Amino acid sequence: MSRSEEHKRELKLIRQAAAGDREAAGELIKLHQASVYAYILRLSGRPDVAEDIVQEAFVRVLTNLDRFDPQYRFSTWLFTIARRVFLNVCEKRRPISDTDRVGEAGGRSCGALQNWEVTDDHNHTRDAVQKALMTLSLEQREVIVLFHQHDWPIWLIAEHQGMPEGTVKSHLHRARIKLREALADMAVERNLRQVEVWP
Amino acid sequence: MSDLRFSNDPRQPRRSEAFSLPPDDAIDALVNEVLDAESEGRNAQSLMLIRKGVTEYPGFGARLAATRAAIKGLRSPVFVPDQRTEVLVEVNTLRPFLSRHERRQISASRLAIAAAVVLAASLMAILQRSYPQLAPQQPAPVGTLVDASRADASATVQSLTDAVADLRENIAAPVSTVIGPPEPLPAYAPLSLGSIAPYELEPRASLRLPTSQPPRGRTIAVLPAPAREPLLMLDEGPIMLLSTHNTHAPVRTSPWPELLHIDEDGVVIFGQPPQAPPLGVLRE
Repeated sequence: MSRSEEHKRELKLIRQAAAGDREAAGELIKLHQASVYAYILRLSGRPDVAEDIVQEAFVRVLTNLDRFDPQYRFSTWLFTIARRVFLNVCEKRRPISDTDRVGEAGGRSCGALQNWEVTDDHNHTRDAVQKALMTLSLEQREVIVLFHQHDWPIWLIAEHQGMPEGTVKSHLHRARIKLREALADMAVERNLRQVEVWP
Repeated sequence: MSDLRFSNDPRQPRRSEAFSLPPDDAIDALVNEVLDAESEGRNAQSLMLIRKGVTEYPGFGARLAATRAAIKGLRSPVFVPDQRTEVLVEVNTLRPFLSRHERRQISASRLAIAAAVVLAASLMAILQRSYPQLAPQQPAPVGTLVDASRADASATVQSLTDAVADLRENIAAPVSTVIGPPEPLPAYAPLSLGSIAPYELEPRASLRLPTSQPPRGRTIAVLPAPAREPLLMLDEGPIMLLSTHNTHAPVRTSPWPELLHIDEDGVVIFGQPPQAPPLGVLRE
């Protein structure tokens, strides 16, 4: 199926869902839940938080389908709403004493979620890449995920985050380096642990 | 770098071998350039940059490979739970879904409403064409409205200007200095006009009065007044001076609406020279 055909099909589903068609709404969720869940999971580092945010984002989108502008991509709209929900959750759950930590990563962060990551380390964050991602600032994390995981172009990321393209590129470059360094540090730690365990 | 390494300038500090290595930032910048070129499909440029990095910077290849591996890790599959049921249940509570039958009903009712609107518009059009007198008047063009507004505005301005001019005329100049009490009027000789009853039929009448030599009579009093001010008193009513001349002054009596003149010798002359003898002469 070509991209224009996909777009037409998606628009048809949106019209049907807006008219109250349950099956069309379910189909829309099925089409987009994987990408938006992966996006929020990479940002939050916690599957349970990602599930809550994705659910809330879909509910908001499906109850406001009349406001959707067909000249934009549905996925962009969904990601924007999911991001907004995620930032709201960050704001609500951020403890006051954590304000000092916000600037540590060199930009906007989600301190409370970083704390969750630390406390739930063994249960949820088994992925080394995810752990490395959590060392980045929120902007860097978001840019690298959208660019390398979702193949968004720089201009779209800039529009999505409301920042100039040059700033997006700068975040992307720093994020790549930091991600690599964090993974390298973790590898060194793992090797050291193995050496200690070995008699 | 090579220039620094082989410089013999004694002012340059001694440099270690490590300093001569390219800085990390330069390698990272090149790694980013390569990845940007690859993501944008500029493969030839990417290869050229890799060749440059490998030849110029030791360890470039390993760093590029490590960065690529880190990025590749982002694409690793993620287990995605199916949330359709939960989402649809919540959406249904906020905005209930409709069955196919209900959706059809709504579609049919919308179609009916649209058809009714179209039918009503068509009927209106037919009626307007058939009975144009029933149609409301054509709306005035914008240009006409603008012209009318402009005319209204100019009329308003004109009326304001007129009102201000009237006010200015009516406002008396303030008295700056008090000259003193007016002098008493001289007693002039009365003027005997005789009977004027036969001439009252004539609407336009005039009387000439020599102002240089004020007449002396029984009932006339000459007042040094400007035009259109009371000048003479003639028996029952005042005589109005309408304009001043050296020798003659047109005057008007208050019962007579029109002009009359008193001649040089005090003869009262009406607008139409009377056939009858003059009304009267000034008498000493």
